[in-house]
Amino acid sequence: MRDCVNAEMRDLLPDVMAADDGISTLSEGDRARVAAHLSVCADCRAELELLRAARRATVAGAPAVDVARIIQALPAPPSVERGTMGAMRSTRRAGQERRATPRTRRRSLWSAWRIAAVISTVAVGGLSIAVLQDTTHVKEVPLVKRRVVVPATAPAKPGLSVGTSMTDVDDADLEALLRDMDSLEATPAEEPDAAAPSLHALGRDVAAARGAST
Amino acid sequence: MTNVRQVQIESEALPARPMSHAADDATDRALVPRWLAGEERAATALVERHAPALARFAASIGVRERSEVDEVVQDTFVRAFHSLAEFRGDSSLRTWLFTIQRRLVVDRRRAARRRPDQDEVQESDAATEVTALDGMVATETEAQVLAAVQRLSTLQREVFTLRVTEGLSYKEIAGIVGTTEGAARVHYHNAVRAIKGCLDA
Repeated sequence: MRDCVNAEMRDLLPDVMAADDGISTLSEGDRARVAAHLSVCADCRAELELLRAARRATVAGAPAVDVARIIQALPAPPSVERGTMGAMRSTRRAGQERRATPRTRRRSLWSAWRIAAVISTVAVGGLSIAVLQDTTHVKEVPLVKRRVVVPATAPAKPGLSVGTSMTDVDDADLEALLRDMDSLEATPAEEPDAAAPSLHALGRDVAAARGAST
Repeated sequence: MTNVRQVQIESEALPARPMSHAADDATDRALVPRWLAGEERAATALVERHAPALARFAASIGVRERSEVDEVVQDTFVRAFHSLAEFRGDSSLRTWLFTIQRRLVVDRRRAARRRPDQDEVQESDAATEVTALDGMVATETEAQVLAAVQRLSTLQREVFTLRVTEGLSYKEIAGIVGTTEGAARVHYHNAVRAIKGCLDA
């Protein structure tokens, strides 16, 4: 089988086969030129027959494919996918909205509690401050200070701050003095007065005076 | 309901034999937006229109087992439909599908090469390769031609199939196989010469 020297005509032979299928891939002019060439060229006619046989063979010999299986494997159209996703998003939004109501209510309740707590704290704090201020202004109870008044003329005796001689004091006076001293001890504490007589020393002096008188 | 019926009518009206070109393009361009709009029947029509051609092309580029052809065609459609929204229509849908399928097969071959237990498919294996194109043929001439086609190199065979069986232009073939229009033409004529030589021998 020889090749035609007209390469342009040979190039167009497959397009002649398309024309066999009723598909026009050739212009009217080309179709007329090819037809004219085929009528005079045995090599091109033989080649065209070869191509037709090859085509029939490859079509007949091609494996069949499972179209149904392919269709099942295909993805969903984007609009359907968007619709599905949109529906999912809408459902999610609705769920969020449904949840939003009790959450908002809880939030408002919580806010109310917080406000109440703040008010209570302020109120209790204010009351405490008022009470404290009130207690700081309580009138002081005047302490009754009882002092033993002794004659200024009596000579001072070492060890006694009272400044009088026990020899000038009779028993009744001493006992009255001791009672006074006892009552002094029962009075609320004050800073010890450095000038106050020591009770133990005073007692010793009284005992000594009693002994001397007897 | 009207749309579904239209798809069915269009699908039935189209012959199973290889088609291409303007009429096919117009139908595809009508079906693609319908599928994108949510009409799943449009996908059925698209698959029915192009699956046989993809199976032929898969067999022509050296996919040997029938089950593998089925798998490759399915993967091609799945990949294509995932990107169908980005299909700009610069080429026909069938040409775009062929491009996707070829890339898929090349990827599978590369993956097979990395697995030592898999046979590597070489261009030079064409003479001994048993492809899926071994179905029933009507005449002895056709059987001889088919045997001659199977002896072509993979590149020659895919260019020949795309040109003769699918009726694509050299420009379309060049886009699919990643070469120039002139180189596609040379591959085609070499293939024809090789087939003639085989038949004359």
